[in-house]
Amino acid sequence: METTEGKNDLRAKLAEKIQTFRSQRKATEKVDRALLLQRRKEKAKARAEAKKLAKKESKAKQESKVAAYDTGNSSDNIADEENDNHKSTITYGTLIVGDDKFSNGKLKVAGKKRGPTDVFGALKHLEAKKRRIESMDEEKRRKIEESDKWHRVLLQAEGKKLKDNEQLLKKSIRRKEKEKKKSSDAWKERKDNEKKAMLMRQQRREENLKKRRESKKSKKGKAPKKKKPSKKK
Amino acid sequence: MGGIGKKRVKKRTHLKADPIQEAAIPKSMVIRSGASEVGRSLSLLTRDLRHMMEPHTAIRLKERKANKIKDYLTMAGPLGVTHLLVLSRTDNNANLRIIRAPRGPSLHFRIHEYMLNKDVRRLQKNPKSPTTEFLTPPLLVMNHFNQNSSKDSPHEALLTTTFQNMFPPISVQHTNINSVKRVLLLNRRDDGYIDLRHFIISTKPVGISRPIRHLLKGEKKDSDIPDLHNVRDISDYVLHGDGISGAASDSEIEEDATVEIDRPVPTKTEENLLSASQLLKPKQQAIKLIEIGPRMTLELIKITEDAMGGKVLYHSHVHKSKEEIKQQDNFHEQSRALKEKRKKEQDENVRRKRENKKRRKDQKKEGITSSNKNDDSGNEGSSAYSDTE
Repeated sequence: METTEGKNDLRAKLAEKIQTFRSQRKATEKVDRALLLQRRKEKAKARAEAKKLAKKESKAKQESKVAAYDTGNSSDNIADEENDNHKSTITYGTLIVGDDKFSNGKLKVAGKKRGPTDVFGALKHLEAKKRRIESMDEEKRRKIEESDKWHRVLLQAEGKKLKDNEQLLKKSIRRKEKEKKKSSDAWKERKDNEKKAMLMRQQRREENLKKRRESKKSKKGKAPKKKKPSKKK
Repeated sequence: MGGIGKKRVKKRTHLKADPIQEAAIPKSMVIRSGASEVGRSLSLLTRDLRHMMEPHTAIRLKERKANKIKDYLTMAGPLGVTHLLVLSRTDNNANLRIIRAPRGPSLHFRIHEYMLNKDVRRLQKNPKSPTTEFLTPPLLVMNHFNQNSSKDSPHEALLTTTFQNMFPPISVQHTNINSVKRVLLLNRRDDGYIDLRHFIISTKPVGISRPIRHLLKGEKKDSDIPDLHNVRDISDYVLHGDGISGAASDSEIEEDATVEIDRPVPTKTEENLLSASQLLKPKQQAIKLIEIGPRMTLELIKITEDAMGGKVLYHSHVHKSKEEIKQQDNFHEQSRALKEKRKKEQDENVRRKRENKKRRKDQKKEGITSSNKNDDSGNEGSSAYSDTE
């Protein structure tokens, strides 16, 4: 068949072209696939190492920053010199350093808020987390739940608003949807009213024009009044 | 003219607070559970605690016996109250509960010992009566409090966080040192008890004789003008004024209690009395803490998840096994489900009753209209009630 011949022709042309390109860049005839893969792996490894190193450096920088703000004093500064093993760790209330907060011995750098900010996103996030936890084994699940519980309580104590109650989130979503529906209905009604008003205006205009035309016609039908010639005295 | 008929707004003294900043300030209420039932001394402690928590607290709060903690929690939201300090008494001891409004957690403390302001004042030789110290919040200083939440003791981190968030944050750049006039000290003892102390910070300039210090005060009172009628020369006054040697005694100022602060813009009297080199030097101030009370010794008993009741996250005396915790969780889950079920039933009953009421009303209306029709047709004898008795 012609089609198969055409295909073969194309293949031959392609092979020829590839060959010319290879000769142009002076490539070795045989490509060692294993060597290529090995090189690729090595590159990936090097990249991972570099990433790790960068992470370490940033951590060290953060620690040094915390150390700069650190307010812990050793016990020989305070009066308690006899009790050497019991170091005196003095903590203050929450300190604000620029945009950052220093509390609980940690410098909390002000940055972008992580995680979902809207209700829909929060619910999705919560459901995904639930699924992830359910897939784990009993021991791990308990550990995660325990740490999660304390983390949640700590955030609550700090005054952060938590969006972790599924029922409440669903409720607020329902409320939002209701509001949306209400507003969309109102908008639809407004649009319909506008349309109706426009149609009515057009109709009125048409009627007025029609009336005017008819009145003109009727005027034309009647003979025009002849003016009486003015008498000259 | 600047707007006839408009109310004049005082711009310097009546500055409007920034609402964002205002929202960041924690506000508190100190409450006696069961109002006056707690007794006189605990009522006085409540008053002292309110003074301690000033200025962001309800200082003239009136409790009634009928008021439940739930009522206060309900009102906390609209009033912007973030913490409730609830004092209560059992047969054996007094208790303090710190509740984070509106959703918790709540920390339960046992008050082992307490001393009122008046008792602290009675102990002192020269008690200081506070003046403007309560216009600004106290500086919170905590000693031996665990800072990072380790897996073994997350309750300690929560304890620290709770105390830190009861007071407004201090901006390192913008807070004026002179505005810090009080210190609230919380010291964690080896036995786990927490000592609470409340001080006023008083400062004195160092390295200046007492007569000069008296002059540097620069207050315009007659009593502040030095009495020189017994003095032949001004040097007598400067060196031995008021019959006391000019230098401060060794016991008066401890060495480690002196701090150097940048000298602000000098006053006229300072410019006249101090040399140029002295004006350039940083000011040395001696800091003295004067206790004003109250004193308390607290023991953390338990932490619960919610503002009222809820799961017990930590208990200092009761330690449960994993199995018991599991049982407790199941029990909580069951009780929650039962509560939900009852709520549903209740809602259903309310709805049904409402419908019945409506139906009855409609029937009544129909009855009235039909009776009217009957009256029109001439059946005047028919009545809704028959005399069969």
